[in-house]
Amino acid sequence: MRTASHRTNSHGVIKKIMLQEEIPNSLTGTVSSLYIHVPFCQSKCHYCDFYSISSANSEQLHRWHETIKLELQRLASESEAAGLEIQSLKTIYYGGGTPSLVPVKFLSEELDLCRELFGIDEDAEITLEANPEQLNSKRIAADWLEAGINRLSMGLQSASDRLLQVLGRRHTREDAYHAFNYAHQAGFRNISADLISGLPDATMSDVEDTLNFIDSLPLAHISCYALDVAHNTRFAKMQAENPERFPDDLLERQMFHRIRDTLIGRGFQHYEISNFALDSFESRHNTVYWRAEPYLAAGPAASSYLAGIRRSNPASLSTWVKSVQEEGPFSENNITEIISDEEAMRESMLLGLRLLAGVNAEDFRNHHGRDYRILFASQIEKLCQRGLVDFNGETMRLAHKGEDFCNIVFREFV
Amino acid sequence: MEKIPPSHIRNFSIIAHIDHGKSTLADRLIEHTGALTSREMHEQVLDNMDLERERGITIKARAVRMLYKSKSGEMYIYNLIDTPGHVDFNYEVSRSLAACDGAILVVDASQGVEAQTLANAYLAVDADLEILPVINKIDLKTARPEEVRQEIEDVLGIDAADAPLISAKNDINIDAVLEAIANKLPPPEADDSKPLRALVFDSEYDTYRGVIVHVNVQDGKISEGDEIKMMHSGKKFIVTELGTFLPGSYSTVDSLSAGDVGYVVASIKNVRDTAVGETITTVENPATEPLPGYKPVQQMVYCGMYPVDGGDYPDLRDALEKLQLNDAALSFEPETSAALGFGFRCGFLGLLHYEIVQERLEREFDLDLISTAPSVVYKLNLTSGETINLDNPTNMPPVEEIESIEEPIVRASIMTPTEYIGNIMALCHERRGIYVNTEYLDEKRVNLHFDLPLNEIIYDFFDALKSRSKGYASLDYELKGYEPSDLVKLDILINNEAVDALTFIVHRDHAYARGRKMTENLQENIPRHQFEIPIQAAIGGKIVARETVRAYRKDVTAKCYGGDISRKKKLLEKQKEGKKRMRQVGSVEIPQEAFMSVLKLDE
Repeated sequence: MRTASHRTNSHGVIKKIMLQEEIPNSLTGTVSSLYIHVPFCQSKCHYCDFYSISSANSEQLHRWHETIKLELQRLASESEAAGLEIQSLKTIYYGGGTPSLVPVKFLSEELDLCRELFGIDEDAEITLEANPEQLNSKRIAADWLEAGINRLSMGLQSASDRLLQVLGRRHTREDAYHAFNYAHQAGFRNISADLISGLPDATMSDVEDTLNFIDSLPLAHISCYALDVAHNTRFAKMQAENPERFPDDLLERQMFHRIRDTLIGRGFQHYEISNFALDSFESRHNTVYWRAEPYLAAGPAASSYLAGIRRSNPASLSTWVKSVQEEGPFSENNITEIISDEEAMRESMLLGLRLLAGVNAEDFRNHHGRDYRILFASQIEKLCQRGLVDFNGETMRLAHKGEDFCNIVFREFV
Repeated sequence: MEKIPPSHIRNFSIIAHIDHGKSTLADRLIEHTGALTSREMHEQVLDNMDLERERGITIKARAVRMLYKSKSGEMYIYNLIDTPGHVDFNYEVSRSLAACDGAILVVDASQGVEAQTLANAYLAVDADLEILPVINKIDLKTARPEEVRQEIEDVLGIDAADAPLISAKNDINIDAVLEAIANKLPPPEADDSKPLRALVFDSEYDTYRGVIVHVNVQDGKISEGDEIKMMHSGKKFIVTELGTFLPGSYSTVDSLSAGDVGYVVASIKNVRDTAVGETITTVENPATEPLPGYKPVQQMVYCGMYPVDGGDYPDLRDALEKLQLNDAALSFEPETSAALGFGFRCGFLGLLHYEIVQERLEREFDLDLISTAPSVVYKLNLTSGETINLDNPTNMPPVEEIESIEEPIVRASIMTPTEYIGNIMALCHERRGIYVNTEYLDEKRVNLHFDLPLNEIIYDFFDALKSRSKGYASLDYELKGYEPSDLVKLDILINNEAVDALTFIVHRDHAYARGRKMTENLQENIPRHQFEIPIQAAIGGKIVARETVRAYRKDVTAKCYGGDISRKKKLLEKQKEGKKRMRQVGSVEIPQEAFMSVLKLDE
């Protein structure tokens, strides 16, 4: 955990001296994580409300790649003026969209550029989100490894071809089976699969079937998300027209619990509300988010959190290109939120409690210089009484019941 | 300026169905007489409350004085007394009309005669006013002025041969109206040698001067320094200021004589001391009889008003006090609800009055309110021989103490094109209406008369009427009296606990259907909790309807990564804000809307 003393910009130091009461600013000026957004998809999945361009052409891909490089360069050259110290990167995450659509040559160039500009730690975690249908040979996986990718996060969602169709996915169970094995054969040891619980038309036997299927796959990490029907998606329309196709929340929870309990039985750690990992395979990049640590961002619609400021790039390829060229990554126009010390402490609770290890008093003090047990005494008491959290005097974590009702817990900290 | 004699004074009002152009015509008259230059002219000068302008209705009476030079070259004083335009304010209308000698009846050239045209014309006839019909909006494509002229004659029995054809909006033929006022409407019968009798037709409150009483001097004369007496309340005051009305302002004078319309200021602290319909006389030379027609204010509809945030209770009290300064018809007294905390039982002239007060409290005073379903006043004859008025269903005594219950009945006139007669008959029967008769106005339109219980029309009757007649039917009603009725108290239990604020009184025959509808509405409005919530309707101890809000099994934000932290936080904040606006009853959180769901009983 970083402490306030790491803060390097002069402004912060002056502020600290002037304030009699020592409230160290938790918003450290150092960063060592990078998110890169790939806005391209072959087609839109029926549940997805992320920014993406369906059926991208190679001209757009080129423009994206060139602008990513420019954005990385500007991040490097303008960070100091922004009061920021970019350290050798510990995590890089290609998310999307469908990052597996990006030519490996581009990935390789971009990662080389990162190495040149910021440095990349020897043991850095470098993730690529991939769709199973694109990983159709061992060769592709080998190329990714070669380019520097060392972790794959694959959108499996379900092992049922019937449900995959409902989802609007382009892969089949068989595609997926091969894809995971190609990756493993090529040498990937850190492979993750995404699942969704509560899919329309899904039954408990579909869940069982998927669990059996993934047992045969070389997985170190699994994310399982309760379906969240977002506005303006095909699913929203479907739900309005045929609500009976969607499992009610009782059944969805039963499905999720079945998955959770099975995975725990197989030796996975349930380390975040929706995430499971074999020992030491927790997603280090995502843990940065949950610990409210800073991260850089590149690509359209990508968000960063730097020195207490949240920014989001424009969610359109052309606007983003223009923004990177004309204003650069530290543009005020991209600021979405400026986090005060108090807000930062609330976020540490809100996000930290997503991790089932919970929020630890010592970590919190190292981060914020304050004692959360005093700051949030009334919330802790209330939530303990309701059986939503467990508190042992040092650490507060979600209780079993709290996993299903985590929003009640989170609302206490917004 | 030389004194204009009473023979050249015209005191008149403009009456019309809603939206037929009353306020627009008033604006034009003011503009044409130069009381305001057109540049100063703010549309609908007389309706100066935002709410009035938005809704296109007049809530408070208002007067304005104009000078008109007729074609014959003589000067006239025109006192236009604007009357409220809704059945809730019928008494106020009748008092305003009593201050007039004539009325301009505005009829829309395409809509023709409508329910309130009729009702208002009758009020004017009852007040012995000379009626000057005017056909407005003649420039609309759908205008049918000659048919409407005939309608006025046939339906109202008023000679409309000379009715000016005008467009107030587009300033067509306004001069004809101005000239007709001088020629067709009579001057006041004024005798300033008699003892003073001035009719109070409105009042308003001014922070510095106290109550400004709007009067029409019918006999005698009132001067600055006079000691005056209210003939009904008996209160005495010294006149400190007199004046006449300019649009939006005042012009002081030394005295007002018979025939004049103006205002009196006399250090009066409370509008209730100068109720509408009061007669002012002098202490020195008092009149023997007050002017006829005075009625004390009678509230017809009551409801509980509670601040959403209990801490706003003092603010709500202050706001109600301020509104009451200008609105003698509003009553309120503190009440407590187990579900809603501290609030006020407020009394209104009718549902529109209630809506207006509620909106003004929210808009002008920035208060968030929960109001309980409106209730009428029931007369309860108790076995003890005592009779009580019940305006809050929660306070209904146990059944065994009640001998009988009487409820207020109104005589409703519903004017409608003939094709909707069936729908409207059905609606009125659903609402326990008793058919009285049908008046055929012409081939296409009828005036249906029904006796309806007031408690059946204060909820959503008007909306239902509009929806079942595609907006064509119009409604007017007046209180007919009280009649015995088989009424029961319907309690609503949420999670097995009776919620006092949701209790209402209903006819026994409708109790099951209403109870079912109520529980359905509540089921939709109450969010799921971590436990199952039964919602029941009960009469006495007997459950007549039940719905269940199923327990929810999860409240999870499954995904939260770098890009959506802000969004997810906002979502949680919004949910938290929503919860704040809910009321905790036992362990159940009930949103504001639920308390109003009793109002939505029609499909």
